[in-house]
Order: sequence, then structure tokens, then C-alpha cells
Amino acid sequence: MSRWETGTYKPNLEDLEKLSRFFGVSVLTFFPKEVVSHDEQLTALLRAAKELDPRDLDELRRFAEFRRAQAIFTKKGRKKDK
Amino acid sequence: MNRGEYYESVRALAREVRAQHNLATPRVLRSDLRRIYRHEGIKIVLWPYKLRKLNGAYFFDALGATVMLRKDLPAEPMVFTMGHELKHHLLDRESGHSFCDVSNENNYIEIGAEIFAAELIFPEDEFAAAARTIGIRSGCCTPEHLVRLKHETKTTMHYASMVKRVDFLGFAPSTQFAKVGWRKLEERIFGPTFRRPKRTS
Repeated sequence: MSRWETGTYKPNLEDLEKLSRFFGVSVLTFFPKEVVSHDEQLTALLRAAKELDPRDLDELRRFAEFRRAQAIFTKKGRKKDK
Repeated sequence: MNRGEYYESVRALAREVRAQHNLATPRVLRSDLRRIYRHEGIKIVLWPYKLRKLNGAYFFDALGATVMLRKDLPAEPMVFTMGHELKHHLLDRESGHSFCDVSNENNYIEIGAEIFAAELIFPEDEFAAAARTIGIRSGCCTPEHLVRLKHETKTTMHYASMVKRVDFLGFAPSTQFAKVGWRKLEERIFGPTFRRPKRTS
């Protein structure tokens, strides 16, 4: 953790996912609000998936958020490289 | 197109994919599916967190195509699930995301995905021919027959799917195989040296 604080090491997305689970928040919490867009398609899917085990439904939502975080993460990395 | 025609078109598509990617035997590995996914531009994410009934999910939107797979799935169900999600990519991607568990398995899109995955691994005609070769007849198919069929063909189709197939082909009702301990049966027939096909990654 101190290496994160000193900037020696940067957490990867998997680290952020674990951290978000520990704090009981979405992984998207770690990203600026302006880049986190609303996923209407996913909202519709989750609404339709009423029969799904609630714990699976929660994992599905977490995965969808992870995937969006991954896209932001990759985009940021690419910008930095330039 | 009625349901029967739809399922037939799904099977035909699976055979096309087999031909296109040189899958000539019923032994389809995860590496084969990974190769097809690469060709289709589908990203795979192995999800390490606990899932109850969900084996996989398909996502398609502006971020591209992604398949989520349960990381702890054994090799054969993994191959089947990858085949299942591939059908969603090839035929259902306009509808965006989909998930696959027991709650929606009666949906015709999901049934189609199951048919596609089974046909991709072991085409029905070849399965029926191989079954007849080892002596399986209508109304005469035992668990031992299925173990022999799997052993002879070296297929990576898992037993649950083989049971559905023999039921569909009218060889035996699936209820007949409800409590079979497949691993034990394999060892009883072939001895402890018999091993399932190895995991490829």
C-alpha cells in the first residue's frame, strides 16, 4: 500500500476490483465521474434477469462495471504512452 | 422461420465454423475455441469470483465483444460454454448482452446456443454414427455405452451434453442417467489409468 502512496507501484485493475470488494463499492468509484457513462443496455439486461440468483446478478453487474473500468484504464494508459 | 428451422440453421452454422477452423474431430479443445475467439475479435475474461449458477455471459456494445467465463469451470464444460457464447456472438449480438444460467435455458435463443455448442464439438450425425458403431441402439443405451463412446471418440463433449444428445436421438431417456457417477464408472471400465483429456492451458 505504501508503494501505491509513493507512486513506486501503480495498482492494476484486478487490485482495484479487490479493493472495491473490500470496501463494498463499485470499481468505477476509482474513476472520475465524467468518464463513467451510464450503460442503458446493462440496466435493461439486469432488469430482465429477475430469475437469476441475486448473488449471480450482483456478480454480473460487477463484471459489467469491471469491463467499463477496463476500457477507461486502457484508454488512459494509451494516452500516457503518446 | 419456425423453431425447428431455426435450430437446424444453428446446427448448420456450427458445422460451417468447424469447417472454417479445421475442426475435424469431436475433440475440440479450449485452445481451438481461443483461436476462433481471436479470429472473431472476442475478448475473454476469466472471472475469479464465486458464481452460483452462471457459467458465462456475453457482452457486446461500443466496447467490443467480451465473454465472461467462470474461472473454475473444468475443461470440458469450459469448452461447451465457450461454444455457447460463440453462438451469441455470431447470431445474437444485435441484442447486446446476454447471460446463461438455468433460469433462461428454455428461451429459444438459449436452446439454440446449447445446440450450437453441442454441434460445434460433436456434430449430431457423426455422434449417431459413432454411437451405432459401438452398439448403441434405440432404447438400448446404458451409461457404460456412453463411457465407451467418449473413450473411443476421445470427445471433449461432457457427459451432461452427451446425455441430452442420446435423449434427443431417442437412444435413451435422460432420466436413466440421473445418478450416474461418471468418473467411477470410467475407472471401473478402463481402470485407474484412464484419464480425462488434459486441460490445455
